[in-house]
Amino acid sequence: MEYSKIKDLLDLYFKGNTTLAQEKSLRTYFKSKDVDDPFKPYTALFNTFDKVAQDVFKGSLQIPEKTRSNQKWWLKLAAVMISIIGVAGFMYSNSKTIQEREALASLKQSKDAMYLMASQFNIATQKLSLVDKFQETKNKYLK
Amino acid sequence: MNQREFLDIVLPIKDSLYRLAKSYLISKDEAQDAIQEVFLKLWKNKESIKNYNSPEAFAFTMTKNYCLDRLKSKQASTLKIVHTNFENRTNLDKDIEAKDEVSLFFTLMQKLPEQQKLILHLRDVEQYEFSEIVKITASTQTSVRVTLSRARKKIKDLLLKQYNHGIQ
Repeated sequence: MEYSKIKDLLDLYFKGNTTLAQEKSLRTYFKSKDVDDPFKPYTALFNTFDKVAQDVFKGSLQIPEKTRSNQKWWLKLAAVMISIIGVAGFMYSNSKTIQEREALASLKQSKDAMYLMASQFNIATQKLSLVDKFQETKNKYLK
Repeated sequence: MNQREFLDIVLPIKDSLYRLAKSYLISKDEAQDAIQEVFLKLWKNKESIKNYNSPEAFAFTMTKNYCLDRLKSKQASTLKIVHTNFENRTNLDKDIEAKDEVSLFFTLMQKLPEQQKLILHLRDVEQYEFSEIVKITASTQTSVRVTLSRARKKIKDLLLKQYNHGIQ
C-alpha cells in the first residue's frame, strides 16, 4: 500500500474513526516486511494485537450440577415442612389430652356424686323395710 | 435457564473474557482463576442474566469489576510481578521478540485509565463493532469513539517516546 494511504488510515485510526475493515488492512500492512520508516514505531503495536488475541482460556470450567442445587432446595423445603408439621401436630395432640383430662376428671366427679347418691338411696330403702315391719305389727294388734 | 443455555451464552465469549482479565491482571494463572470465579458468579446469577439486553455485556462488566476488585485487594499486590505470557513458540529469537512486544503492550496498557483500557482492548484486541462496545460499556457511540481515540493517542505517544529512546 502506498505511503499516503497508510498515513490517512493511521490518522483516522488515532481519531477513533476507522472501520474494522480499515483496521484489518492496517494490520496486514504492518505484518508485511516493507513498513515505511516513519511508521516503524507502530509495528509492535499492531502485531501485538493479533498475538494477544490468539491467547485462549485453557482452564476447565467447573459449573455446579443443576440437579444438585435443585435437590438441596427441595430438601430444605421438605425439612422445614416436616418440622412445622411435627411441632403443630405435637401441640395439637397435647392440647387435646388436656381437654380429655378435664373431661375425664369431671366425669369422675359426677360418677362419685352418683355413687354417693345411690348409697344414700340404699340406706333409705333399708329404712323403708322398718316401715313394713311397723305395718305388720300394727295389723297384728289392731284387727 | 438450564446448563445448556447458560453454556451457549458463556462458552463463545470465554476466551474474550479471559483475555480481558489477563490485560488487567497480567498473570495467566490469576486471569484463569478470575474467569473461574466470574463463571461461578454468572452461574449463580443465571436467572437475572436474561433480564439484561446483552448477556455478553453483563459478563464483560462482571469480569472487569472482578479484576479491578482483585487488583485492589492485598492478595493481588504481589501478583503483578508474575509474568508468564506466550510460550509455545519454536524459534527462541522470535519467542524473545514476541515476549518483548507483548510485555511492552501490557506495560503500555497499564498506563491507561480503566475505561480507555477496556475500550481499546475490546476494539483492537477483540475487534468488536462500536455498537457492541456501546452495549458492553453502557455508554454512547460518540463517547466510545472519543475514549478510544484518547487511548490510541496515548499509546502512540508512549510508543514514540519508547522508540526514540531506543534509538538514542
